[in-house]
Amino acid sequence: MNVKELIKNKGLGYWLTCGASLLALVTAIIVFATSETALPNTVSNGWVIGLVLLIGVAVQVAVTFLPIRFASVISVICYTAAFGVVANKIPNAVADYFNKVAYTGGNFGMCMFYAVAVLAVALIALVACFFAQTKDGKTII
Amino acid sequence: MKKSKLWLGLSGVGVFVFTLLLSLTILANNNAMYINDALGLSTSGLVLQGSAYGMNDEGYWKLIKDSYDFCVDELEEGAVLLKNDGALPLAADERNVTLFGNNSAHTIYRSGAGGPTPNPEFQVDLEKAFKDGGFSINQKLYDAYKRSGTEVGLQTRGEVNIGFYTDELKATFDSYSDVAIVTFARYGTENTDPSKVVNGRPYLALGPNEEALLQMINDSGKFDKIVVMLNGVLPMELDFLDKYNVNACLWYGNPGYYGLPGAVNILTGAANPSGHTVETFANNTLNSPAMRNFGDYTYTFDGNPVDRTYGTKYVVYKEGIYVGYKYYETRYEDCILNAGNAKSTAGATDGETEWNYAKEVSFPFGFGLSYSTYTQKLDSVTYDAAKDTFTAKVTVKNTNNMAGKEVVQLYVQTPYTDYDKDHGVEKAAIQLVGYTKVDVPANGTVTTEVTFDRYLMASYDITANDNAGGYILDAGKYYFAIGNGAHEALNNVLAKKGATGLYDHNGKETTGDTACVAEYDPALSATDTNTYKKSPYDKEVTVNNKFADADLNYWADEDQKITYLTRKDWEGTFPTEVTTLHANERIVKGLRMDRYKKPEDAPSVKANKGKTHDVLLDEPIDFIDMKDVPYDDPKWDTFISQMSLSDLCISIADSRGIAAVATVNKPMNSIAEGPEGLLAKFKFGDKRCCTGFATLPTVTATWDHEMQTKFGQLYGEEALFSGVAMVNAPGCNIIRTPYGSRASEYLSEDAVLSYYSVSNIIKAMRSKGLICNVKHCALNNQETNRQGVSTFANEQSIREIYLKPFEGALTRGTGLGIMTSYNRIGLEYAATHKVLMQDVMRGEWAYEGSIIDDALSQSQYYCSTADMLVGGTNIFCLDGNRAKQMKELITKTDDGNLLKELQDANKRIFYSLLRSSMGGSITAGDKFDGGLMWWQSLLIALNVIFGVAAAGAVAMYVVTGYVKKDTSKEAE
Repeated sequence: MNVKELIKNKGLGYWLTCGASLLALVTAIIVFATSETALPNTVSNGWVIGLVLLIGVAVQVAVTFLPIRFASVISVICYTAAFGVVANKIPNAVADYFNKVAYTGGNFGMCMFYAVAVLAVALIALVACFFAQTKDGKTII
Repeated sequence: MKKSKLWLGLSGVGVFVFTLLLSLTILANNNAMYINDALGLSTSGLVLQGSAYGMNDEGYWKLIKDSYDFCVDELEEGAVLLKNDGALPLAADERNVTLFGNNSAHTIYRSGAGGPTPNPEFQVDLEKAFKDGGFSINQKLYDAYKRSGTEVGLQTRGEVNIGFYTDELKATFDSYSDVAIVTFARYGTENTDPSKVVNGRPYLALGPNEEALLQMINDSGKFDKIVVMLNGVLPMELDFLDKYNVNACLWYGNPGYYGLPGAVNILTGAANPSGHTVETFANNTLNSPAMRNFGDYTYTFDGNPVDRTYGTKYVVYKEGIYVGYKYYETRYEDCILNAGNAKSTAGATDGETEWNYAKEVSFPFGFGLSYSTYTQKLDSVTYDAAKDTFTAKVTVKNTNNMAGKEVVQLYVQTPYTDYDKDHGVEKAAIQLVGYTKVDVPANGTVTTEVTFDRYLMASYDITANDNAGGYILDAGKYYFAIGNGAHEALNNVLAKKGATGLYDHNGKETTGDTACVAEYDPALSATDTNTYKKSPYDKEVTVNNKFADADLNYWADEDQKITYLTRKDWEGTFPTEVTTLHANERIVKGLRMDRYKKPEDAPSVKANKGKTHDVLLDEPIDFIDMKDVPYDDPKWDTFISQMSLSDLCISIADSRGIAAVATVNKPMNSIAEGPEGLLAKFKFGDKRCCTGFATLPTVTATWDHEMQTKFGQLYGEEALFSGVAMVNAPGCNIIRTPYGSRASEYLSEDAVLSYYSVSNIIKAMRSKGLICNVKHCALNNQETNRQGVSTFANEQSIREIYLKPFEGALTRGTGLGIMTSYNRIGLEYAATHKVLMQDVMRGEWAYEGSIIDDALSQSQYYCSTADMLVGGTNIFCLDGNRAKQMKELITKTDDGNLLKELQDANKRIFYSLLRSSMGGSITAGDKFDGGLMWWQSLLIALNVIFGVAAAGAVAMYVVTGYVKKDTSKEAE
């Protein structure tokens, strides 16, 4: 496999999801490192956010070598689902922040970082849906 | 753009919107109670009944007025005047003042723990309080503070650098020089304790910037008077007052959002102060025996056990019963009587050659000044054998011309006998047993009474009754004493005992007053181990040792065993820090909390469907039909048997409330938070946020049963007007050290003061139909590592100190709710602690209500659902996922034993709720739908619409991108 040719042929849609996946990878690492203290006491398994992001990254790696036309849509599903997981884990931290209390613990700033970063990842993947994955339009399906 | 490309993009948009909507729908359903509450659906549309105001807008406005007036009253009565050299009350012409201290513009109204949000338009800050009180304040300086960008925190005292005071600012002092009113603040909150040391000195000591500020005020020579006001619950080190010529000092704790005018009224004399301290103010806050073991301690493990989540931390209460004044006063007596090498330097301030009370304490527990001058005389103390109570008669005389309120504090000294010494029973030299507050007219005299249960002065002895343990009464002479605080009461006792060399907290020689002391001799030939062998609340239940495994010595290897502080040997047993603790095999095993195994003889759930659950009754029983049905009535079993497994799983899961159970027509109910006022909004009038009262130490510092009761009543009324039938409040953990960050949610360092205060509050709340989950039971006395910290203490201290307030809440207070704590008691997580919940609460205290855990869903290892349920937990706080877990577990294992526990939990929950305002607001025949709310139906509809749209876009993409392409290829 000629990797150079493979990369040369990648379209804007691919590069957008690639950027999104890079951001997702960084975010996942931060989530794994910080979620235990950053999320409120009232939620468990914060690492799931990172896991769902990594699934998106894995998809990205796969489509690098096995290009498919609708890869961006798969990324959108993964990253939007990741955002959904974030949204389900942070409301108590948000409520505490606006109520000016520390009832359920967690770090509001970090929670907001998770939300904004993952939403940005999902939106970039969404924009990528409007662009081709390869320049010559050749994909395996 | 090609059609297929467009459809691919639109597919992405469709999938994005649908996935987002689906996620948000799950989020909304997981937090349905929040949304229902916001939409006014939290009690299924019920208007709670039972208000004395009338449940309408008119009643609401009357309540708001009373609540806000009470905020001022509680500060007037709860603020403690610690020092006054005659500077207060201020004269009528002393109204041009400068408010010094950055924190004067950044008041800590309450802690950051769960509680009400402010209503900014009604909030009263110091500026408004002083201006409304007729003062002109130095506005330039106040505004400069407001803009300073500096605020008090857990690691900072929040005082500005002295360079802040420019010449321009200093020039403003001249016009506002009647009084320098200096505010210092210290902050505590949930989750984290404050740093013990900041800028090289204790956080609670005066900081360098604060020192510089006082020095600047002194050096300016412009101010006629200096008054210090202390904001915050954590007790500061106050040995600086004389050094910086402070004329008066007033502590008011966390004043709530609307209470500050009360503090100003004290300064002007519009109110006569009558509060007394609820904690000892130590000169060196790091010096007490409890502080020697407070903070972050980590086990050492062999190897690396796979799962140690919430199992790596510990703390050891080596001080035993010597917490707060019980340490300082007991050591003082032993110094005076030259006993137990009390004068040794162990625990003494650095540089001292011997331990000296006045060097250690600036203001004792129970101390407080007034503008009136009083004398008190203990006329008599009589014992009523039929009721097992003592009644003290006290004459209070006001010797000046200002009417006021005076607190009568009754203490006892029980004998410290050879039996005690031989059996390891510790005795405080003085302990509170009762109090009252009386109005005394100018130059008037009143007689009052204080009645208390003799049980409160019994000591716990783990060796009693052939080492089974139990409460004992010692043979010998008992001394009852009154005084302005524990120290004065003790000096009065010592005077009666003929001791000499007495001194007050300032180090000034005193003689004590024998007229304030009464003796009592129970005429016992030996230690009485029998009288309290049985529970005072259930004569069928024996009170005996239950917390042997909370003692570190139960688990530790021989070389790691500890000695608790004893007054037999202050020097040899003064606590050292337990900095290393090896987690031996027993400890590692004991830390695991996921131990539940289905019993072999557990009945089958499936086989018993229709027999023990899911029973179809000829005459179905509704939730409301169980109102007033006694707990032991078999009708409860019949009622519960109607419910399916799904029904039974509904009520154990709290998502800021409990959902409706349609099968039995039980409406949904919210569970609000918190100890400093309700985190809820009113449903009447202007629908503002509920009232942020002064926090509990200030309420307790009123030392007034009526004020504490009134607080509970108003709180309960606010619950009715905001549709709340159950609340996670108040807190009654002991304030073990000055650095316990959550002190503002608790009451006092003293068990008996907490016992009375919390029971007064809860009884009043219950009279309004509010179920209070009193928290956090037990031994949650630090925030550091609170989740899972192994908390080791001996049984005497657990019984006499840490459990006593909870006992009061559920017995004297008739509470029907309690919350367990995050920590472990010994190695056992409080919410799986069967002995605590089943044997002590339900057994010894005859408690019939529900038990909720503290919000946590982090680890199966630490808090397994099955172990918690079997241990006695009934409701899982903010943990809706537990219902699903429980249902899956029972279904998967067909475990009828767990089903039985689940049924018992439901019975407890319903029993409590039926005795709440909700139970009093339902009419027989009312129907409550457990189905979907309108907003849930709407969300489902939107999901369907967007799901179909996304699928359509994908289909169009497939058609245009693949099918048509292939068709055209075929055509070619």
